[in-house]
Amino acid sequence: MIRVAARLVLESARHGEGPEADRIGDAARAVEILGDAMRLHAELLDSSAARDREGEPVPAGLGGAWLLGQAAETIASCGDEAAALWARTAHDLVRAHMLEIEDLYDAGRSPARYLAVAQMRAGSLLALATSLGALMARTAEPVAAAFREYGLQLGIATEIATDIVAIGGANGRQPQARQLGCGNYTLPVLYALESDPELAGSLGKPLEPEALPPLVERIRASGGIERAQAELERRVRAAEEALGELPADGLVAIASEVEGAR
Amino acid sequence: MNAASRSRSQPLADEAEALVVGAGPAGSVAAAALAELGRDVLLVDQSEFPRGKPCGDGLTHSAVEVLEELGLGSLAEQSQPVEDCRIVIAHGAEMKGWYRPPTRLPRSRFMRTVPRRDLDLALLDAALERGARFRRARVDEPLLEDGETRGVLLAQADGGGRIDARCVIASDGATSRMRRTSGIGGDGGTQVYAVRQYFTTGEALDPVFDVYVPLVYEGRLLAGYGWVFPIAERRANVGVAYYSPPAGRPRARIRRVLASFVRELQEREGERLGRLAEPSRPFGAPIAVQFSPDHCQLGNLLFAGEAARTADPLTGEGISFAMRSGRIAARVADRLLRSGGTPDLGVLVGRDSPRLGQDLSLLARVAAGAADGFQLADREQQPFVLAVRRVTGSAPDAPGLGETELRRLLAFDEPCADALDRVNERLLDSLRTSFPFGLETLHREARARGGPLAAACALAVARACGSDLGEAAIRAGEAAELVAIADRCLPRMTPHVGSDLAWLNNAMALLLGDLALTAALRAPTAERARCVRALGAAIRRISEGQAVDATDRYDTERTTERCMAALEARAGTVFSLAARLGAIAAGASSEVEAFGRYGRDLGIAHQLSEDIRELTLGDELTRRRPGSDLREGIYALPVVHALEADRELGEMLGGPVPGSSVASVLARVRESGALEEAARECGERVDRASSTLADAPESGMELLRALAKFSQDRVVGLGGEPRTGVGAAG
Repeated sequence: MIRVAARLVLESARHGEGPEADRIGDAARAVEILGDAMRLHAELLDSSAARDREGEPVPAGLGGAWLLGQAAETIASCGDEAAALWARTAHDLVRAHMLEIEDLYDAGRSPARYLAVAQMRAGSLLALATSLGALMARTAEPVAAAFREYGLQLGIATEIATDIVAIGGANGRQPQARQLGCGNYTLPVLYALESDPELAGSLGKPLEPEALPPLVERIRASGGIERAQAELERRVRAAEEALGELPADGLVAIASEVEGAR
Repeated sequence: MNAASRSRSQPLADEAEALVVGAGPAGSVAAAALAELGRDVLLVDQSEFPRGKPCGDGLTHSAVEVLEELGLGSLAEQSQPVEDCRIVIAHGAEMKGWYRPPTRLPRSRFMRTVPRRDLDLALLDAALERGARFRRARVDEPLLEDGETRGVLLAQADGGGRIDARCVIASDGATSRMRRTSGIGGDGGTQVYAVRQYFTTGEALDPVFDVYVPLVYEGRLLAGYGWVFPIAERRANVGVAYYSPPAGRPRARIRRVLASFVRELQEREGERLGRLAEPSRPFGAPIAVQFSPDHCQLGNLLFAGEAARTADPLTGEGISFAMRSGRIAARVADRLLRSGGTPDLGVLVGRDSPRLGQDLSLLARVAAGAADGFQLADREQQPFVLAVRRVTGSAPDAPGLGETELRRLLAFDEPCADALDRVNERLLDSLRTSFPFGLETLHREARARGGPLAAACALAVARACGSDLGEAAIRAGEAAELVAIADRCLPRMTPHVGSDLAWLNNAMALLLGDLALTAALRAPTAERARCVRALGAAIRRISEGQAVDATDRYDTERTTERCMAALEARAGTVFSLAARLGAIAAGASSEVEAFGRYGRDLGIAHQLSEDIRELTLGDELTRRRPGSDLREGIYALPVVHALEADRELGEMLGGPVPGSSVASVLARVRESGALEEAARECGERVDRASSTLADAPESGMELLRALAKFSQDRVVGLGGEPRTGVGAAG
């Protein structure tokens, strides 16, 4: 799924009164760069460099901040409303990451807590993308609201899809399951814990890479991946339903990509 | 007449203007405050007084301050003093060492011990003396009619009935029945439990609060601590408190944990304490630490003390927070009764203490998952434990700016000083999360370096441009200060565990820096796009400056030009941004760039003064020792000057400096004349900042000059004679 956020801005801007190409391009860049900035910092936090004495975390940390500044400058050309919406979302993304960190090593984490983070993070980012597209194209409010809801649901779906791949693998590749070792228990794991509560006894602590494969097998056997996939599909349906009868084939196509990401 | 006899002598009351449920510290302080405000207040409690309570005995300096304000200072003065705190590192029979956490309190103000039986009786008497009434009754639930709380229903077991009131404060403790029955919610999260027991000791006790870590039970690490402190010369309060273990981990029975702790204590420290004898019955209770500003008020039903979950999530201390929240609840109740409006109690309590509401359950999980039970400083565990070590033993931070040098300096300009206080409140609100130590850490950063100077710069410029310092200017000040905070967060990321620089640890530095930056981007309310553009450009520039500093670490060949470039990109940009945001908020246009130049020079001057202070004083608030930067390879301008003047100094630097060598390195820096040189450059920058203002309207000059002088005055006497051009330039 390449540059989904930017594509959503562009697709959402097709349905307004008179799109201004430059500003729409700026909005797409600002959302995509924001996503990159946050991903850079998220990867840094997930990597050992942020957590122990090895590595050089500073340059990567500065890179994320630099990108954030670049994105802010870019969105400014889109006007006060767009800038305010973008800034609010940027703040939500950070708060979502903090919530996720607070839940580390919590084998009692509820799927609802996971979904709240997914909504505040990927959901907010893609809702920003569709909202900015609608705003730049001066789309009527009912359509803009539908796009916002579409983006929110699709964002949650993308986060689930990423986490399914991390545990279940994709395209014949073995799963990395790195998050499992770092105490970040994602939806497939949380569903697995519901059907196999004794799994909690093996979690709740840092795990070395060699300890992960048997746990991944256990999660697969529990049906956790299938349940997460069902939730993903439910979110994609909700995104499509939000669009209703709107002629938004491009958005429907992106939703299909997300659903078929595995 | 004491409280018990008063209660018996009063007729049964069934209505009051304000009703307070629970006569513990929060309730009695609230009742006293309401009575002082002239309100008809009825205090109800299910117990006869005096009565004991499991938690308490220890009164922090903050609690003693409230007692003194109530005229009960003598209660504290006559009590057993505890003059200090000691963190004792021990495991089983083995003592690994101890240290004194830094404290800013004089020994006489550290802590007192007053039994809850005496404390609560004295507070109840204070409320009654001020005109509050007391009734012994068991309350069943709030009385709700048409969505309003009209009073309370009394327990059927006591005959039932109701008490009518226009406003109700529920202060019925950690297990608050009022809270459960009101449906206010917000009680999720990890539970904390505490239990204590009294012992006589064979030896006289030191007047010290001993904190024992780690707390280990049957080979498992619990997220908590044990304690011993004197309540009399040979009588000790011994206890344990800890977060409940996370899901999937076995539970520990708290009384068994205490018994195990006492056994180990006796074995390990029998010589110092003597025999522990005459044990009292263990007394245990949950501690309510899940404070949330959103769950303190339902219309005219207010919660205070542990009913509002206001215990300290790190130490478990609750009495000072209870009394302070009771006082705030009384003010809110008074406003409700006066205007019928709905002031937000939770926000006010949250502003009163940055520490409340921080979720330390992650710490509990990390502790439970520790591989060998008690070596917390391991790899993955390091980030949060490091933060805990930095905060352990310190009193919760003062929330206001009153103690900062900057706030005192600005006192002459009341509107600006008030605006700065409002910026501080906004910072407390916008940065509040439940992330462990997040708000406390960021708020400490805002007050370090003398105070929120970037915010003051934005406000002063806004004022000079004719602003009435309304919401737009406040938001400009908030955004500016947030960027200043973020600029100090990210460089705290360091690969060196245990260094003074790593006090935030990497994960926290990154996340808190991002939180501050994005809060800054969100803050402006006027001309948002213009402000976001200015903020974005500044963030980029600051990152570039930080990259220069990061690249130059340990480079003894670092040039003055490189150093100045980084200085200008960071401090210069932060303060230039502050000035520009202030000008934009005031609606200025052509003056924006000139004020930006003023800000740049002010920022560079301020950073130079901070560099000199770092090498001579360190920083008490953020607990950094003199020369911390230098030890970690960050060579600020004075060090670069020293390296140019004293080539042999380069042989002592270029790598981590051992603690034993820091003093001699600092002495050589001083002897090289580098501090004087930096002070001279600081003075030049102040002069340049002042000269930039030559064409500005005279009305705002005094404030801007005061800020310029502020930076320069902070280095007087620390090395070199600062130039006196500041006053003249004004």
